Amino acid sequence: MTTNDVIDRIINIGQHLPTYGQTASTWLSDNVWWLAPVPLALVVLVSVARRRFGRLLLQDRQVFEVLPTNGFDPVLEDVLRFAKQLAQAQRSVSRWAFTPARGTAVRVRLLSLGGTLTMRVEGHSRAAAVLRHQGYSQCEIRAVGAAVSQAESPEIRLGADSSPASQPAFTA
Amino acid sequence: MSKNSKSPRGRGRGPRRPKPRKDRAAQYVARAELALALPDHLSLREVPLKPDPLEALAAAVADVREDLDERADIILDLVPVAPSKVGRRRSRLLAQARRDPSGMPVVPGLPQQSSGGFGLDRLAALGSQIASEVRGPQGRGARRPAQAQRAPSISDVKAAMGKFGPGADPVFELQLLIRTCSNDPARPRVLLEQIQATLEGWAGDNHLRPVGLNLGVTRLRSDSRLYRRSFDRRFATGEFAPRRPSWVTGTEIAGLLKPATKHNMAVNVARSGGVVPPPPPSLPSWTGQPDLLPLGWVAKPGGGERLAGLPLAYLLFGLFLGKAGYGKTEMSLVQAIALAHNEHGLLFLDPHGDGWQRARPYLAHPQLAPRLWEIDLTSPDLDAMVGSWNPLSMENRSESEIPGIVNAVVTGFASALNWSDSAGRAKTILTRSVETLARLSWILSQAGKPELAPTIFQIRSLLNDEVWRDAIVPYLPKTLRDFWVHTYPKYSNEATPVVTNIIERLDSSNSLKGFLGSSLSTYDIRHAMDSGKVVFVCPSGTGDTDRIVSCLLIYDLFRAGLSRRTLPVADRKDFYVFIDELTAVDGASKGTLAAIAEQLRKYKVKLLAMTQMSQRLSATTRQGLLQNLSILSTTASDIDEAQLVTRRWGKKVAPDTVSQLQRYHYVMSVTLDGRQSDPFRVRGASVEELYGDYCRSEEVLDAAVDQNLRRRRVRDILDDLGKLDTQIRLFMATLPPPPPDDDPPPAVEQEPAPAVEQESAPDNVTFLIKHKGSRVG
Repeated sequence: MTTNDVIDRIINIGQHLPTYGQTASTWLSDNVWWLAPVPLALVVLVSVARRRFGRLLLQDRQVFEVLPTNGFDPVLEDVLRFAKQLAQAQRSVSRWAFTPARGTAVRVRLLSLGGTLTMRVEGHSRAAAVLRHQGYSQCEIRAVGAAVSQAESPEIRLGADSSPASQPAFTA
Repeated sequence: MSKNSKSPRGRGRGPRRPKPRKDRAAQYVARAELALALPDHLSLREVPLKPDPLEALAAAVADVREDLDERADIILDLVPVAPSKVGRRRSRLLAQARRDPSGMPVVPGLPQQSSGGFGLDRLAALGSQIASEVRGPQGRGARRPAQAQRAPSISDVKAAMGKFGPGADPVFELQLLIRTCSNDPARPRVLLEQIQATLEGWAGDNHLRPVGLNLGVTRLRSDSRLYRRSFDRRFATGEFAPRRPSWVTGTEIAGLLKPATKHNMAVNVARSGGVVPPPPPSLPSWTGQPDLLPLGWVAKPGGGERLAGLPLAYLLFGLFLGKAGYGKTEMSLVQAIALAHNEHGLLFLDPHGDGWQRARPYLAHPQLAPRLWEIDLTSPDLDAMVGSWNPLSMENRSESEIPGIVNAVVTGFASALNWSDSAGRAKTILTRSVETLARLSWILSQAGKPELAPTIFQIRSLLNDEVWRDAIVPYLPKTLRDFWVHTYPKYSNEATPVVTNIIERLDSSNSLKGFLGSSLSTYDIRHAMDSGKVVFVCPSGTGDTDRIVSCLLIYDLFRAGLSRRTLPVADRKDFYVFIDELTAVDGASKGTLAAIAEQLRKYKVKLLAMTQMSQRLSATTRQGLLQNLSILSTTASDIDEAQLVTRRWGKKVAPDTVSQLQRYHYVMSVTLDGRQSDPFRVRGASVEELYGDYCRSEEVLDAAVDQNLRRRRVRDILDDLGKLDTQIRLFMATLPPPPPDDDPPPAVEQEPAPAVEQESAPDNVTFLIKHKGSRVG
């Protein structure tokens, strides 16, 4: 195929464009009764999907208590760094632009139970890695609820015999 | 202000709601959702961090009552706004400002002038403009509106951007929810209003206002049925769907993004016990390895805990400090049981015997049976079985060991009784007495009668019974004879009871008499060291007598450890000694404790000492011990003690942190990879938790100990002790007189003297008799 052939074909298509447009217009007018709801359905579908995805994200959250020491004395820069870490924690929940903010917000909760004021930071578990290492130097991060990691239970094997069950008690 | 309403758990919430339990009071909830009242680019007041803005909030929630099941939550849901979005907002603000320069605020940050509304000033400006048009060009030139002619300057640009100027980072979209609840219908609203009042501190160019439909006379807020469901869902799930989006900068809400600071004087603030560095990554995990000493649970980097152990190769000496009942003994038991099963020898000095009772089921294993020793001094029962220990026994010992034995016994007594330099006379008498009896024991041992060896109860006989002493003294070396003949009689009558009083005290306890009153020792700590025995010693834990026996045991241990110098290094087995209440044995040791601890590590005797307060140790002892530490561990302690320990750690841990430790929590540092680690937090493990699989019936454990220690009934030992003085005296009478050792050698040394002449030479007894006026003579 030469260049002239390509140009001829393009010209030919261009000459037929009005015909194509008329055909498309006719088809659309004939089928508008079912095409009209399609964008609306798409919008609803995407909206529902985003909402459901957001709710899924909300099911997997962790909570950490930020406990200050008696000497905790931050300056504004410390707080702004902490705020940036919160922002980064929120961004780490998902790399997809599709992910709705509805399910990924980081929560700072000032809570009083029994009169004692505490501060908690909550977020999706994927943000936990960031949340656990939030950097107020004079604060302790303590897991609360589901975020409390269980201590591993090692199988203790003492002495030469590897199985404690095989070590009988004294016999008279 | 929002109206109180019942919670979803309360009454009348619809058919799908679970019915509330009758025993639970109905709960009432107040809700509020706050948002910026004015356009976003207007800033809230930048509340300084000092004084702490949360102090007012703490005061507001201090009244939250637990008995009414009350709770107050202030929730900030934050979604960061991308810098590009902030940039676009900034551009829009600037474009708007260029289109309508008159609407810009004069002062940056202040609200824009009335560009959108139709107020009187706007009407006045319009009228003025019409009038100027009517007057024509002259009039316009004469009186132009000042604002219309103002060209945008840098300050105007800043004013237009408000808080979204360049550098505003981070910017968050905010959802601010407040919820209070109580069983009292009136209190949630009161609490809510108190909290909202504290947030008024942030009111500046902008302020926070409850979101809700304004009906003119009232406002439909989050408590209304219209919004309540959405609020509760967002509150419960963390869903971010603010009814009115608000963009705030980190600077604006800084006061709410941090916990209470040190400037917050409110007492109702939850605070941490303190920050402690993480455990060293190279600290091994322990699952029972024989070459590791279990320490407890330490935090893993990714969350959770693991059981950590310290390589025994790095362990020389450990010091465990802290309050009583905070887990020192439990940690020691965990370590002792592990060491016992892993074929290491150990001595556990266990006041009261509680530790031994807990450890027994976990040590009742056949492979451990031949190695178990138990010295239980807690029972006054005359029919109880007890092992025997005669510190003065010279059976299987050499004459050269006498000074060491004397030193151990005397230092033990002196430390237990806290004899200082002012008690020089008593110490002298005690030293000579012990030396005399050790010498006598050696003589009896040499004569084939170790079963007649004097015990420490014979000190009383030696000092009080002249006849008994007369029978002994002639067989002693000259130095001792001189003491008893020349020096001792010159002491006043008050000197002796100071020493005999110790023995009288020991004599008051059946178990101690049983343990110390036998001539033959079945307890030999040197043998235990070399053969890897598992020794539990249980004094009754109270009174001077137990302190005396503890001191005697420990100083005998030190002596035995030092006597290992004769062993080749390769043959020295590790022996671990757990000593509780180290202060009790420090008394008047004048640093001997530290010196010996330093020496013992060379002979593979490793001390793991516990004490409540290292400050009670003498300065010399404390400095010496701290110098050689492989493990320094502390539970909670008072602030002075905590300061002492944290100073050792270079203030990497605050004294407050140590003083506020919970029970069974420790901060410790260890020697690892040749260097002292940073302090790290350890949660204590319990015996039941770790060794549940090793718990066995202990019924016949006593029989094994009886066999190992050849234990006898206390009653039998006391019977023998009652006869011992007489038996010794009678036996000594049968011994031939010792050769003279105080006269110069005869001139005829080159020619052996005839046997007859040797026999007729004055013996020591004759020598003593010649000294008139002496007690002996």
